[in-house]
Amino acid sequence: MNFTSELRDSYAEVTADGRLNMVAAPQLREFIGNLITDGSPRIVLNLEKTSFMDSSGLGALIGCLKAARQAGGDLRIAGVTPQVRMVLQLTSMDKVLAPYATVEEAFSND
Amino acid sequence: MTVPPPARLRDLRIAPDEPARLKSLAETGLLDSPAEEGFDRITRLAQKLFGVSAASVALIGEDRQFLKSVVGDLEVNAPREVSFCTHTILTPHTLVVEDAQQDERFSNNPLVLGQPNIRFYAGQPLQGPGGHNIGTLCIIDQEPRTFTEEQKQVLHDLAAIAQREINVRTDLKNGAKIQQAHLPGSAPSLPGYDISAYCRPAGELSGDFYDWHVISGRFRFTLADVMGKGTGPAILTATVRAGLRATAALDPAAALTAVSEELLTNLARSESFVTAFHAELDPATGTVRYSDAGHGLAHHVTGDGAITRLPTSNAPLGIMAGMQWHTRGITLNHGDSLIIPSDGVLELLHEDLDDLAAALKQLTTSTDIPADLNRMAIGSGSPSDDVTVLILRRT
Repeated sequence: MNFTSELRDSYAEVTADGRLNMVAAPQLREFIGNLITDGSPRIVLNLEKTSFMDSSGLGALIGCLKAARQAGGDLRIAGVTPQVRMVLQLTSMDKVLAPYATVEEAFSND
Repeated sequence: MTVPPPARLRDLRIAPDEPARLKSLAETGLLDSPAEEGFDRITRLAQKLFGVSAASVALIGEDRQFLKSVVGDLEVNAPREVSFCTHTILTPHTLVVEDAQQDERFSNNPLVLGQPNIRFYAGQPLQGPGGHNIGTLCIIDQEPRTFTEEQKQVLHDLAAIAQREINVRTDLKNGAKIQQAHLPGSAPSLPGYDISAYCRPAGELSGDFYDWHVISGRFRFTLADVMGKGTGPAILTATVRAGLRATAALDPAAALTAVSEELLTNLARSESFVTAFHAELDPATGTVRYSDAGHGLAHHVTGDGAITRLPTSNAPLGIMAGMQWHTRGITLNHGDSLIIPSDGVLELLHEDLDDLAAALKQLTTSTDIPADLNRMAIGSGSPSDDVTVLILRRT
């Protein structure tokens, strides 16, 4: 899995390209952990190119969400693909981490 | 009573710990097990490092030698009486035979006189549980050689790596045995109901578990999945199970809420979470009161074949403080089933919920759940997740 980040006006956008599984999960945690340490705790994770997510991937999202909130920011997700949406709905994780249609919408109200 | 060894083995020197040694070998489960990369890597390395024709991890059974790993032209099974390694395991030390033709123990050995024409042999004993010599890491060649102290040290170090493989493996097998013992035994006798469950770990240990017990006439049951697989999640399954047992007097949702709060710190530290379906059946009425924490895969199959996926109440356990779950109810009429799979079953069906529903419907009438799940696993390629199913059917 490949991660890239770009700083926007009020948040950092992270794009995750590939399969978010047991191998990629700790990599995502580290990538986002570094962003938070570098002073960007407001993060939108763009999942348009994440074709698959398993429970380890879900675990990484939860870990990143907690880390961002602890640093006074937040993690939001956008552009989820059908399989990722299914996992979020099945597990009711969409109640905790609601997916936004686009990256721009994620922080548009605050 | 001691059983005398077969006639052909009577002249063979056998250490006094032989019965314990054989038991130790059996505990490793290595005899007749298929080749594994962990061992093959070591024999390949040994063969290259020493520049010999063959290297193997040999295990000495009661009357034969079995090669768990082999590079070079050696038979996987050989009679014990011709084995060089059966001599090696008599002591804790490296056995070096620089020229077998000049060694009276081996000069008439058929493996020296004929194929594979062994001249040089060096073997280092390997131990099973309890410290018994169960086999060796050994190298052979068709030319006589001298073997220096330095080379002996290298063989010793390689054998230590093979030893570690054996230890880790034995440890996991013990863990699996204990985890298996945590699953409930046979289903309680519940007139008017059939209860069955099956759990197949992806490796030795499982992050899934199921549990059931009867308390005050109510049948309480659970299927839960700790994120991940292997040792870490397996430890957490025991904790979650204990927590849910300890809260058996509470309503299912209240039990989940209590366990989530209790495990919050543990789960956060281990960066894990738990999905769970936790329920209670009143056998007299068929009423099932259940609460689903992010599991989302329980299905209700009615007698006429209609299938409904039961909604979750909230996200998985252990995500954050202050979360609440709620209890819902369904009624199992005669001929209805409730079937709860883990997400490993969804993976077998390529993450397709419609295919899952169809497969679950079939499983509710299955007479051999493990066989049917195995068939699904074969169809899906190589399943990587734990697979667990619990079925409650009202007759």
